[in-house]
Amino acid sequence: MTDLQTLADDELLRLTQAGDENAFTVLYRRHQGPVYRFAQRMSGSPSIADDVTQEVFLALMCEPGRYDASRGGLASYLYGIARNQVRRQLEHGKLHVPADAGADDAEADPIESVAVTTDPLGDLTLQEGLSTLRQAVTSLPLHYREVVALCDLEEMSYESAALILGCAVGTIRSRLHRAHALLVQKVREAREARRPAPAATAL
Amino acid sequence: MNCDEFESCLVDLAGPQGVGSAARTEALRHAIACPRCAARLADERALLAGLKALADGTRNDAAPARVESGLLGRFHELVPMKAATPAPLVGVASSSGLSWKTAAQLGLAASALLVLGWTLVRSNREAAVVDQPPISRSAESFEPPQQKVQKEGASRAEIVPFSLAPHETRRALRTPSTRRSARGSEARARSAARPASPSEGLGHRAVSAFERQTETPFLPFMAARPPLPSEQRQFVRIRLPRSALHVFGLPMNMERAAEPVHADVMLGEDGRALAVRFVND
Repeated sequence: MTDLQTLADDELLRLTQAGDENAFTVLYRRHQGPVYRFAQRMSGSPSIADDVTQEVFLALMCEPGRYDASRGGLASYLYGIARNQVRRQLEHGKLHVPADAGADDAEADPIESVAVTTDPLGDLTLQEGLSTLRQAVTSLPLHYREVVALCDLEEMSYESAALILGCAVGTIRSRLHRAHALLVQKVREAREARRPAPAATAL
Repeated sequence: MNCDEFESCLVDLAGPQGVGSAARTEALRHAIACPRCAARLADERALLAGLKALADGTRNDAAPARVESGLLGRFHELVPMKAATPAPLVGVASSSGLSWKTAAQLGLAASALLVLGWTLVRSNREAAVVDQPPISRSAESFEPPQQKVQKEGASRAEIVPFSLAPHETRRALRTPSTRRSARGSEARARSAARPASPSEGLGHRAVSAFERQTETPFLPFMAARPPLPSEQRQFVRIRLPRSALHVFGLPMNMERAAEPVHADVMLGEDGRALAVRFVND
Protein backbone atom coordinates (compact mmCIF):
# COMPACT_ATOMS: atom_id res chain seq x y z
CA MET A 1 0.00 0.00 0.00
CA THR A 2 3.04 2.23 0.54
CA ASP A 3 3.69 2.33 -3.19
CA LEU A 4 0.07 3.02 -3.92
CA GLN A 5 0.17 6.17 -1.85
CA THR A 6 2.55 7.74 -4.32
CA LEU A 7 0.14 7.17 -7.21
CA ALA A 8 -2.07 9.88 -8.63
CA ASP A 9 -5.83 9.74 -8.20
CA ASP A 10 -6.46 8.71 -11.80
CA GLU A 11 -4.16 5.73 -11.51
CA LEU A 12 -5.67 4.68 -8.19
CA LEU A 13 -9.12 4.93 -9.71
CA ARG A 14 -8.06 2.74 -12.62
CA LEU A 15 -6.73 0.13 -10.20
CA THR A 16 -9.93 0.37 -8.17
CA GLN A 17 -11.93 -0.32 -11.31
CA ALA A 18 -9.79 -3.38 -11.86
CA GLY A 19 -10.77 -4.63 -8.41
CA ASP A 20 -7.77 -3.52 -6.35
CA GLU A 21 -9.06 -3.07 -2.82
CA ASN A 22 -5.87 -1.43 -1.57
CA ALA A 23 -6.08 1.21 -4.29
CA PHE A 24 -9.62 2.00 -3.23
CA THR A 25 -8.55 2.22 0.41
CA VAL A 26 -5.78 4.69 -0.43
CA LEU A 27 -8.18 6.72 -2.54
CA TYR A 28 -10.74 6.74 0.26
CA ARG A 29 -8.28 7.75 2.95
CA ARG A 30 -6.92 10.49 0.76
CA HIS A 31 -10.27 12.16 0.16
CA GLN A 32 -12.64 11.15 2.93
CA GLY A 33 -11.60 13.92 5.35
CA PRO A 34 -12.51 16.90 3.17
CA VAL A 35 -15.70 15.20 1.97
CA TYR A 36 -16.75 14.38 5.52
CA ARG A 37 -15.99 17.87 6.83
CA PHE A 38 -17.83 19.50 3.95
CA ALA A 39 -20.89 17.36 4.62
CA GLN A 40 -20.72 18.05 8.35
CA ARG A 41 -20.40 21.80 7.88
CA MET A 42 -23.24 21.81 5.41
CA SER A 43 -25.55 19.65 7.52
CA GLY A 44 -24.38 20.39 11.04
CA SER A 45 -24.81 16.70 11.76
CA PRO A 46 -22.04 14.10 12.12
CA SER A 47 -24.40 11.23 11.34
CA ILE A 48 -25.51 12.88 8.11
CA ALA A 49 -21.87 13.49 7.28
CA ASP A 50 -21.23 9.75 7.77
CA ASP A 51 -24.05 8.89 5.37
CA VAL A 52 -22.98 11.41 2.77
CA THR A 53 -19.36 10.24 2.90
CA GLN A 54 -20.48 6.67 2.41
CA GLU A 55 -22.74 7.59 -0.49
CA VAL A 56 -20.00 9.61 -2.18
CA PHE A 57 -17.50 6.77 -2.21
CA LEU A 58 -20.14 4.22 -3.03
CA ALA A 59 -20.98 6.27 -6.11
CA LEU A 60 -17.30 6.35 -7.03
CA MET A 61 -17.07 2.60 -6.53
CA CYS A 62 -20.19 1.75 -8.53
CA GLU A 63 -19.85 4.27 -11.32
CA PRO A 64 -16.20 5.23 -11.70
CA GLY A 65 -16.81 5.91 -15.38
CA ARG A 66 -18.79 9.01 -14.50
CA TYR A 67 -15.62 10.77 -13.40
CA ASP A 68 -14.19 12.79 -16.25
CA ALA A 69 -10.64 13.90 -15.50
CA SER A 70 -10.81 16.54 -18.21
CA ARG A 71 -13.46 18.42 -16.22
CA GLY A 72 -11.43 18.73 -13.02
CA GLY A 73 -9.69 16.76 -10.33
CA LEU A 74 -11.16 13.86 -8.43
CA ALA A 75 -11.51 16.00 -5.30
CA SER A 76 -13.78 18.42 -7.16
CA TYR A 77 -15.81 15.51 -8.48
CA LEU A 78 -16.24 14.06 -4.99
CA TYR A 79 -17.22 17.44 -3.56
CA GLY A 80 -19.81 17.68 -6.32
CA ILE A 81 -21.35 14.35 -5.34
CA ALA A 82 -21.24 15.32 -1.66
CA ARG A 83 -22.97 18.57 -2.44
CA ASN A 84 -25.75 16.76 -4.32
CA GLN A 85 -26.12 14.24 -1.52
CA VAL A 86 -26.44 16.96 1.12
CA ARG A 87 -28.98 18.79 -1.00
CA ARG A 88 -30.94 15.58 -1.54
CA GLN A 89 -31.06 14.92 2.16
CA LEU A 90 -32.14 18.48 2.80
CA GLU A 91 -34.96 18.08 0.35
CA HIS A 92 -36.06 14.89 2.04
CA GLY A 93 -36.16 16.73 5.34
CA LYS A 94 -33.56 14.54 6.92
CA LEU A 95 -31.58 17.48 8.20
CA HIS A 96 -32.56 19.65 11.09
CA VAL A 97 -31.33 22.67 9.18
CA PRO A 98 -33.96 23.81 6.71
CA ALA A 99 -32.79 24.19 3.15
CA ASP A 100 -34.13 27.72 2.94
CA ALA A 101 -32.84 28.82 6.32
CA GLY A 102 -32.30 32.53 6.22
CA ALA A 103 -33.82 32.85 2.78
CA ASP A 104 -35.67 35.97 3.84
CA ASP A 105 -32.43 37.49 4.95
CA ALA A 106 -30.96 36.75 1.59
CA GLU A 107 -33.64 38.78 -0.11
CA ALA A 108 -32.80 41.91 1.85
CA ASP A 109 -29.36 43.39 1.50
CA PRO A 110 -27.52 42.17 4.60
CA ILE A 111 -24.69 44.56 4.05
CA GLU A 112 -26.84 47.59 4.65
CA SER A 113 -28.21 46.30 7.93
CA VAL A 114 -24.76 45.38 9.18
CA ALA A 115 -22.97 48.45 8.08
CA VAL A 116 -25.07 50.91 10.05
CA THR A 117 -23.73 49.70 13.40
CA THR A 118 -20.24 50.23 14.69
CA ASP A 119 -20.59 47.80 17.60
CA PRO A 120 -17.56 45.52 17.24
CA LEU A 121 -18.10 41.79 16.84
CA GLY A 122 -15.63 40.92 19.55
CA ASP A 123 -13.35 37.94 19.64
CA LEU A 124 -14.95 35.11 17.69
CA THR A 125 -12.03 32.81 18.30
CA LEU A 126 -13.10 32.22 21.90
CA GLN A 127 -15.19 29.16 22.65
CA GLU A 128 -18.45 31.04 22.96
CA GLY A 129 -17.79 32.99 19.80
CA LEU A 130 -16.92 29.81 17.91
CA SER A 131 -20.13 28.14 18.98
CA THR A 132 -22.14 31.15 17.87
CA LEU A 133 -20.29 31.28 14.60
CA ARG A 134 -20.81 27.57 13.94
CA GLN A 135 -24.54 27.98 14.44
CA ALA A 136 -24.56 31.04 12.24
CA VAL A 137 -22.82 29.14 9.42
CA THR A 138 -25.28 26.25 9.69
CA SER A 139 -28.22 28.62 9.48
CA LEU A 140 -27.03 30.32 6.30
CA PRO A 141 -28.97 29.72 3.10
CA LEU A 142 -27.54 26.76 1.25
CA HIS A 143 -25.80 28.63 -1.56
CA TYR A 144 -24.04 30.88 0.96
CA ARG A 145 -23.20 27.99 3.26
CA GLU A 146 -21.49 26.19 0.39
CA VAL A 147 -19.08 29.00 -0.36
CA VAL A 148 -18.26 29.53 3.30
CA ALA A 149 -17.62 25.80 3.75
CA LEU A 150 -15.38 25.63 0.70
CA CYS A 151 -13.60 28.99 0.64
CA ASP A 152 -13.38 29.88 4.34
CA LEU A 153 -13.38 26.56 6.14
CA GLU A 154 -11.58 24.38 3.59
CA GLU A 155 -9.54 27.39 2.42
CA MET A 156 -10.17 26.62 -1.19
CA SER A 157 -9.48 29.10 -3.98
CA TYR A 158 -12.36 30.88 -5.69
CA GLU A 159 -11.52 29.01 -8.90
CA SER A 160 -11.73 25.58 -7.27
CA ALA A 161 -14.97 26.47 -5.53
CA ALA A 162 -16.39 27.76 -8.80
CA LEU A 163 -15.53 24.44 -10.46
CA ILE A 164 -17.26 22.44 -7.74
CA LEU A 165 -20.33 24.64 -7.56
CA GLY A 166 -20.56 25.05 -11.31
CA CYS A 167 -20.65 28.81 -11.38
CA ALA A 168 -18.43 31.75 -12.27
CA VAL A 169 -15.64 33.00 -10.03
CA GLY A 170 -17.46 36.33 -9.79
CA THR A 171 -20.50 34.52 -8.41
CA ILE A 172 -18.37 32.88 -5.73
CA ARG A 173 -16.90 36.24 -4.80
CA SER A 174 -20.28 37.93 -4.53
CA ARG A 175 -21.85 35.01 -2.59
CA LEU A 176 -18.96 35.02 -0.17
CA HIS A 177 -19.35 38.74 0.32
CA ARG A 178 -23.03 38.41 1.09
CA ALA A 179 -22.46 35.32 3.24
CA HIS A 180 -19.98 37.21 5.38
CA ALA A 181 -22.35 40.11 5.80
CA LEU A 182 -25.07 37.67 6.86
CA LEU A 183 -22.75 35.96 9.31
CA VAL A 184 -21.81 39.26 10.91
CA GLN A 185 -25.48 40.08 11.24
CA LYS A 186 -26.36 36.68 12.76
CA VAL A 187 -23.48 36.75 15.22
CA ARG A 188 -24.44 40.21 16.32
CA GLU A 189 -28.08 39.17 16.76
CA ALA A 190 -27.02 36.13 18.79
CA ARG A 191 -24.90 38.30 21.06
CA GLU A 192 -27.76 40.75 21.50
CA ALA A 193 -30.08 37.89 22.47
CA ARG A 194 -27.64 36.67 25.13
CA ARG A 195 -27.07 40.11 26.62
CA PRO A 196 -29.03 40.47 29.90
CA ALA A 197 -32.10 42.64 29.65
CA PRO A 198 -31.68 46.07 31.29
CA ALA A 199 -33.19 46.31 34.75
CA ALA A 200 -36.65 47.78 34.85
CA THR A 201 -36.64 51.44 35.75
CA ALA A 202 -37.96 52.00 39.24
CA LEU A 203 -41.09 54.00 39.22
CA MET B 1 -12.52 55.06 -3.56
CA ASN B 2 -16.08 55.40 -2.35
CA CYS B 3 -18.02 53.20 0.12
CA ASP B 4 -19.51 50.97 -2.59
CA GLU B 5 -16.11 50.26 -4.08
CA PHE B 6 -14.73 49.60 -0.61
CA GLU B 7 -17.56 47.19 0.10
CA SER B 8 -16.94 45.29 -3.13
CA CYS B 9 -13.31 44.58 -2.22
CA LEU B 10 -13.86 44.11 1.51
CA VAL B 11 -13.63 40.30 1.59
CA ASP B 12 -10.47 40.24 -0.46
CA LEU B 13 -9.01 43.10 1.55
CA ALA B 14 -9.42 41.30 4.85
CA GLY B 15 -8.99 37.77 3.61
CA PRO B 16 -6.18 35.60 2.32
CA GLN B 17 -7.07 36.16 -1.33
CA GLY B 18 -5.77 39.72 -1.05
CA VAL B 19 -5.97 42.66 -3.42
CA GLY B 20 -3.34 44.55 -5.35
CA SER B 21 -1.12 46.87 -3.35
CA ALA B 22 -2.51 49.97 -5.06
CA ALA B 23 -6.10 48.98 -4.37
CA ARG B 24 -5.21 48.03 -0.82
CA THR B 25 -3.63 51.39 -0.11
CA GLU B 26 -6.60 53.19 -1.56
CA ALA B 27 -9.07 51.05 0.43
CA LEU B 28 -7.23 51.57 3.70
CA ARG B 29 -7.06 55.29 3.05
CA HIS B 30 -10.83 55.26 2.57
CA ALA B 31 -11.32 53.28 5.80
CA ILE B 32 -9.36 55.88 7.77
CA ALA B 33 -11.60 58.59 6.42
CA CYS B 34 -14.88 56.62 6.77
CA PRO B 35 -15.74 55.20 10.24
CA ARG B 36 -18.54 53.08 8.78
CA CYS B 37 -16.20 51.27 6.37
CA ALA B 38 -13.55 51.00 9.09
CA ALA B 39 -16.10 49.20 11.26
CA ARG B 40 -16.99 46.90 8.36
CA LEU B 41 -13.32 46.07 7.91
CA ALA B 42 -12.93 45.34 11.61
CA ASP B 43 -16.00 43.07 11.54
CA GLU B 44 -14.71 41.27 8.49
CA ARG B 45 -11.33 40.67 10.11
CA ALA B 46 -12.98 39.41 13.31
CA LEU B 47 -15.23 37.12 11.26
CA LEU B 48 -12.33 35.71 9.25
CA ALA B 49 -10.35 35.09 12.43
CA GLY B 50 -13.35 33.22 13.84
CA LEU B 51 -13.81 31.18 10.66
CA LYS B 52 -10.11 30.32 10.64
CA ALA B 53 -10.33 29.16 14.25
CA LEU B 54 -13.40 27.11 13.33
CA ALA B 55 -11.53 25.55 10.41
CA ASP B 56 -8.48 24.82 12.56
CA GLY B 57 -10.65 23.17 15.20
CA THR B 58 -12.17 20.77 12.69
CA ARG B 59 -9.19 20.29 10.41
CA ASN B 60 -8.65 16.72 11.53
CA ASP B 61 -12.29 15.68 11.55
CA ALA B 62 -12.78 12.52 9.55
CA ALA B 63 -15.37 9.87 8.90
CA PRO B 64 -15.43 7.13 11.54
CA ALA B 65 -13.80 3.79 10.79
CA ARG B 66 -17.17 2.08 10.35
CA VAL B 67 -17.74 4.06 7.13
CA GLU B 68 -14.54 2.67 5.67
CA SER B 69 -15.29 -0.88 6.76
CA GLY B 70 -18.82 -0.61 5.34
CA LEU B 71 -17.45 0.60 2.02
CA LEU B 72 -14.88 -2.17 1.86
CA GLY B 73 -17.65 -4.66 2.51
CA ARG B 74 -19.54 -3.30 -0.47
CA PHE B 75 -16.34 -3.33 -2.50
CA HIS B 76 -15.97 -7.05 -1.93
CA GLU B 77 -19.53 -7.60 -3.10
CA LEU B 78 -18.99 -5.55 -6.23
CA VAL B 79 -15.67 -7.03 -7.29
CA PRO B 80 -17.13 -10.18 -8.91
CA MET B 81 -19.57 -8.04 -10.86
CA LYS B 82 -16.82 -5.74 -12.07
CA ALA B 83 -14.63 -8.68 -13.02
CA ALA B 84 -17.46 -10.28 -14.98
CA THR B 85 -18.32 -7.16 -16.92
CA PRO B 86 -16.14 -6.30 -19.90
CA ALA B 87 -15.16 -2.68 -19.33
CA PRO B 88 -15.33 -1.33 -22.89
CA LEU B 89 -18.82 -2.67 -23.48
CA VAL B 90 -20.09 -1.32 -20.18
CA GLY B 91 -18.61 2.04 -20.99
CA VAL B 92 -20.54 2.15 -24.24
CA ALA B 93 -23.74 0.84 -22.76
CA SER B 94 -23.72 3.15 -19.79
CA SER B 95 -23.11 6.31 -21.75
CA SER B 96 -26.27 8.27 -22.21
CA GLY B 97 -25.27 9.05 -25.78
CA LEU B 98 -25.62 5.45 -27.00
CA SER B 99 -27.41 5.75 -30.29
CA TRP B 100 -29.85 3.12 -31.55
CA LYS B 101 -27.55 2.50 -34.51
CA THR B 102 -24.65 1.62 -32.23
CA ALA B 103 -26.89 -0.56 -30.12
CA ALA B 104 -28.26 -2.31 -33.19
CA GLN B 105 -24.79 -2.90 -34.59
CA LEU B 106 -23.64 -4.19 -31.26
CA GLY B 107 -26.64 -6.46 -31.08
CA LEU B 108 -26.20 -7.82 -34.58
CA ALA B 109 -22.53 -8.49 -34.03
CA ALA B 110 -23.15 -10.25 -30.75
CA SER B 111 -26.05 -12.24 -32.23
CA ALA B 112 -23.85 -13.39 -35.09
CA LEU B 113 -21.17 -14.43 -32.63
CA LEU B 114 -23.70 -16.30 -30.55
CA VAL B 115 -25.04 -18.17 -33.58
CA LEU B 116 -21.54 -19.01 -34.73
CA GLY B 117 -20.55 -20.11 -31.25
CA TRP B 118 -23.62 -22.28 -30.87
CA THR B 119 -23.09 -23.89 -34.25
CA LEU B 120 -19.54 -24.78 -33.28
CA VAL B 121 -20.65 -26.09 -29.90
CA ARG B 122 -23.36 -28.19 -31.48
CA SER B 123 -21.08 -29.67 -34.12
CA ASN B 124 -18.48 -30.47 -31.46
CA ARG B 125 -21.12 -32.08 -29.28
CA GLU B 126 -22.44 -34.20 -32.12
CA ALA B 127 -18.90 -35.36 -32.84
CA ALA B 128 -18.38 -36.06 -29.16
CA VAL B 129 -21.52 -38.17 -28.96
CA VAL B 130 -20.06 -40.57 -31.52
CA ASP B 131 -16.87 -41.00 -29.46
CA GLN B 132 -18.52 -40.96 -26.03
CA PRO B 133 -18.64 -44.14 -23.96
CA PRO B 134 -22.13 -45.19 -22.83
CA ILE B 135 -23.55 -43.00 -20.05
CA SER B 136 -23.38 -44.63 -16.68
CA ARG B 137 -26.62 -45.62 -15.01
CA SER B 138 -26.15 -43.27 -12.04
CA ALA B 139 -25.67 -40.26 -14.31
CA GLU B 140 -28.69 -41.24 -16.38
CA SER B 141 -30.85 -41.49 -13.31
CA PHE B 142 -29.67 -38.10 -12.05
CA GLU B 143 -31.00 -36.37 -15.17
CA PRO B 144 -34.54 -37.21 -16.17
CA PRO B 145 -35.25 -37.41 -19.90
CA GLN B 146 -37.42 -34.30 -19.71
CA GLN B 147 -34.36 -32.20 -19.03
CA LYS B 148 -32.88 -33.19 -22.34
CA VAL B 149 -35.84 -31.58 -24.05
CA GLN B 150 -35.38 -28.48 -21.95
CA LYS B 151 -31.70 -28.34 -22.80
CA GLU B 152 -32.49 -28.49 -26.48
CA GLY B 153 -34.95 -25.64 -26.10
CA ALA B 154 -32.68 -23.70 -23.82
CA SER B 155 -29.83 -23.92 -26.24
CA ARG B 156 -32.05 -22.43 -28.94
CA ALA B 157 -33.03 -19.76 -26.47
CA GLU B 158 -29.40 -18.77 -26.21
CA ILE B 159 -29.80 -16.78 -29.42
CA VAL B 160 -31.55 -13.93 -27.70
CA PRO B 161 -32.35 -10.84 -29.71
CA PHE B 162 -30.67 -7.85 -28.12
CA SER B 163 -32.54 -5.13 -26.25
CA LEU B 164 -35.67 -7.10 -25.69
CA ALA B 165 -38.28 -6.00 -23.20
CA PRO B 166 -38.32 -8.30 -20.19
CA HIS B 167 -41.48 -10.15 -21.21
CA GLU B 168 -40.08 -10.63 -24.70
CA THR B 169 -36.84 -11.86 -23.24
CA ARG B 170 -38.67 -14.38 -21.14
CA ARG B 171 -40.59 -15.50 -24.20
CA ALA B 172 -37.40 -15.85 -26.18
CA LEU B 173 -35.67 -17.68 -23.40
CA ARG B 174 -38.47 -20.18 -22.91
CA THR B 175 -39.75 -21.96 -25.94
CA PRO B 176 -43.00 -23.96 -25.58
CA SER B 177 -41.10 -27.13 -24.87
CA THR B 178 -38.93 -25.53 -22.27
CA ARG B 179 -41.80 -23.64 -20.63
CA ARG B 180 -43.30 -26.92 -19.46
CA SER B 181 -40.19 -27.94 -17.65
CA ALA B 182 -38.72 -24.54 -16.86
CA ARG B 183 -39.72 -24.52 -13.22
CA GLY B 184 -38.35 -27.97 -12.66
CA SER B 185 -35.15 -27.32 -14.52
CA GLU B 186 -34.54 -24.10 -12.64
CA ALA B 187 -34.99 -25.96 -9.40
CA ARG B 188 -32.55 -28.57 -10.61
CA ALA B 189 -30.11 -25.90 -11.68
CA ARG B 190 -30.40 -24.23 -8.30
CA SER B 191 -29.77 -27.49 -6.58
CA ALA B 192 -26.81 -28.03 -8.85
CA ALA B 193 -25.63 -24.52 -8.11
CA ARG B 194 -25.55 -25.15 -4.37
CA PRO B 195 -22.09 -26.16 -3.19
CA ALA B 196 -22.44 -29.85 -2.63
CA SER B 197 -21.22 -31.37 0.57
CA PRO B 198 -18.60 -34.04 -0.03
CA SER B 199 -19.86 -35.85 3.06
CA GLU B 200 -23.14 -36.46 1.25
CA GLY B 201 -21.31 -37.86 -1.72
CA LEU B 202 -22.96 -35.39 -4.07
CA GLY B 203 -19.88 -33.40 -5.11
CA HIS B 204 -19.15 -35.46 -8.17
CA ARG B 205 -22.81 -35.59 -9.17
CA ALA B 206 -23.15 -31.81 -8.84
CA VAL B 207 -20.11 -31.25 -11.04
CA SER B 208 -21.47 -33.73 -13.53
CA ALA B 209 -24.83 -32.01 -13.53
CA PHE B 210 -23.23 -28.70 -14.37
CA GLU B 211 -20.91 -30.23 -16.93
CA ARG B 212 -23.90 -31.76 -18.70
CA GLN B 213 -26.01 -28.62 -18.56
CA THR B 214 -26.10 -26.32 -21.53
CA GLU B 215 -26.27 -23.28 -19.28
CA THR B 216 -27.25 -22.24 -15.81
CA PRO B 217 -30.20 -19.96 -15.20
CA PHE B 218 -29.39 -16.28 -14.87
CA LEU B 219 -27.90 -15.74 -11.45
CA PRO B 220 -28.30 -12.21 -10.08
CA PHE B 221 -25.22 -10.43 -8.81
CA MET B 222 -25.39 -9.87 -5.09
CA ALA B 223 -24.95 -6.11 -5.31
CA ALA B 224 -27.04 -5.66 -8.45
CA ARG B 225 -30.34 -3.89 -8.37
CA PRO B 226 -33.34 -5.88 -9.57
CA PRO B 227 -34.21 -5.30 -13.25
CA LEU B 228 -36.89 -2.71 -13.81
CA PRO B 229 -40.18 -3.98 -15.26
CA SER B 230 -39.97 -2.07 -18.53
CA GLU B 231 -36.23 -2.14 -18.83
CA GLN B 232 -34.49 -3.02 -22.08
CA ARG B 233 -31.76 -5.56 -21.47
CA GLN B 234 -28.66 -6.49 -23.35
CA PHE B 235 -26.70 -9.68 -23.23
CA VAL B 236 -22.99 -9.97 -23.69
CA ARG B 237 -21.05 -13.21 -23.88
CA ILE B 238 -17.68 -13.19 -22.20
CA ARG B 239 -15.03 -15.67 -21.16
CA LEU B 240 -14.10 -15.99 -17.50
CA PRO B 241 -11.63 -18.06 -15.55
CA ARG B 242 -13.37 -21.25 -14.49
CA SER B 243 -12.77 -20.26 -10.89
CA ALA B 244 -15.56 -17.70 -11.36
CA LEU B 245 -17.97 -20.61 -10.94
CA HIS B 246 -16.91 -20.80 -7.31
CA VAL B 247 -17.85 -17.18 -6.77
CA PHE B 248 -21.43 -18.05 -7.62
CA GLY B 249 -21.39 -21.24 -5.59
CA LEU B 250 -21.34 -23.44 -8.65
CA PRO B 251 -19.38 -26.67 -8.70
CA MET B 252 -16.18 -26.62 -10.70
CA ASN B 253 -14.54 -29.49 -12.49
CA MET B 254 -10.96 -29.31 -11.27
CA GLU B 255 -9.78 -31.26 -14.31
CA ARG B 256 -10.87 -28.34 -16.46
CA ALA B 257 -9.64 -25.65 -14.07
CA ALA B 258 -7.25 -24.23 -16.62
CA GLU B 259 -9.98 -23.81 -19.24
CA PRO B 260 -12.05 -20.66 -19.31
CA VAL B 261 -15.83 -20.83 -19.06
CA HIS B 262 -18.27 -18.83 -21.16
CA ALA B 263 -20.84 -16.63 -19.50
CA ASP B 264 -23.70 -14.46 -20.68
CA VAL B 265 -23.94 -11.21 -18.77
CA MET B 266 -27.29 -9.47 -18.62
CA LEU B 267 -26.87 -5.70 -18.76
CA GLY B 268 -29.51 -3.18 -17.75
CA GLU B 269 -30.29 0.00 -19.63
CA ASP B 270 -27.70 1.83 -17.56
CA GLY B 271 -25.02 -0.62 -18.59
CA ARG B 272 -24.82 -2.25 -15.19
CA ALA B 273 -24.44 -5.98 -15.01
CA LEU B 274 -27.56 -7.45 -13.44
CA ALA B 275 -27.10 -11.18 -13.74
CA VAL B 276 -24.93 -13.82 -15.32
CA ARG B 277 -25.41 -17.33 -16.59
CA PHE B 278 -22.61 -19.75 -17.23
CA VAL B 279 -22.60 -21.65 -20.47
CA ASN B 280 -21.07 -25.04 -20.62
CA ASP B 281 -19.25 -25.72 -23.84
